[in-house]
Amino acid sequence: MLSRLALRGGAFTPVLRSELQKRAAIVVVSRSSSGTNKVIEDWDRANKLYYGPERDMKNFPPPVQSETPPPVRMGCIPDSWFQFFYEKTGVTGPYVFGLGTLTFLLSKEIWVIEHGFMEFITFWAMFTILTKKLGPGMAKYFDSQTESWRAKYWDGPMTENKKTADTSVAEIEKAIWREDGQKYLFEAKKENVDLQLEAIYRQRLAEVSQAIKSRLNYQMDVEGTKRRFEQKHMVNWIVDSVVKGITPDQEKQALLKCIEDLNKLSTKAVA
Amino acid sequence: MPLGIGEYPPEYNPKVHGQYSPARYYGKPDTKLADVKLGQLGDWFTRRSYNPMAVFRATGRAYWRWAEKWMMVKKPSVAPVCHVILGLSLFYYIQLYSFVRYHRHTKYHW
Repeated sequence: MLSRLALRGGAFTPVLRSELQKRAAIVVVSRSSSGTNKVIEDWDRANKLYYGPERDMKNFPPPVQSETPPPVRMGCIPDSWFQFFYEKTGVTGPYVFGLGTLTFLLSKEIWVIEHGFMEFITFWAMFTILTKKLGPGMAKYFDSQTESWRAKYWDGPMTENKKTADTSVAEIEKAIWREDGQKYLFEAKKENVDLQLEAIYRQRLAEVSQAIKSRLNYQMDVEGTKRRFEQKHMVNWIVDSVVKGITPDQEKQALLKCIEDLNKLSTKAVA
Repeated sequence: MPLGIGEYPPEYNPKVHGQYSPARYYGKPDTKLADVKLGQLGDWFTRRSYNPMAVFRATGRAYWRWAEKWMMVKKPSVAPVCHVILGLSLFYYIQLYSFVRYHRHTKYHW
């Protein structure tokens, strides 16, 4: 419904058209699926009724339309009548019977030769002549008509329907195949998402470890700085106290001691 | 419907006989008329049912048998036309026989 609306609207037409054409066959099938099911059910019921286990196929075979009428002799008399006589009287039997009957009817004037009798002869003579003259052409014409009619209303629609059904079956099978593919696609997408989640998890782990490390480094730096400062302060304090504790006398003595040492060293160097 | 008009014959059973053929008799088949011996012909006729409904149904079956054999084929011939014309001539000849009789040439025939 939505797709049709969009088609009418025209906004998404170029995008949707190709997709819609692909799915048209499936849509048709699904739309008429209830009717199709009904037809299939009817066929099943008919088959069950007519071709069940009780069916006597030997004595009651399905009717078949024959190609031509049964063979005839003399235009319209069935050959089977002649065969019926042939078994009992031989070849000439039926002719003798026919002519005998005719003679009987005429001689006893059951078939009266009156003014209308000529009509009978002329009519059948004309009928025979016309049949011989026009019959083959008419037969040809009607046969061709039958053929074309059959092709138009029977074979043609049947093959067309079969073709349509085949194409829709193929389309549906393809669609099913595509739907099967969706399963793998879904799995692949799921895996992809899982990978992304994993990547983010690892990234966050790294971030956390980085943060902890930096905090620890900070702590370490703080500790180091504090200790260094304390040490420096202590050293300065001690040095200052010591320097403060030195009297000018002590300084003089130390200077003298230095000079003495230098002298000693110089003598040593000279020596 | 009364008398089974518009219904299948009571003997017809689609499970056994398949699709209905109007040309077929679904009762118990008797000997064919062509196979009946001349002496048993009377017996054969007494076994027939002369109920109007049965006669009507038999006529219908005969028509369908004839039509299926001669007309409802893929390539029909001129024969059914001849049959119809001959049948009609015979029918009207019999109908008009009382008048045709006056044109007899001979008075005594037997």
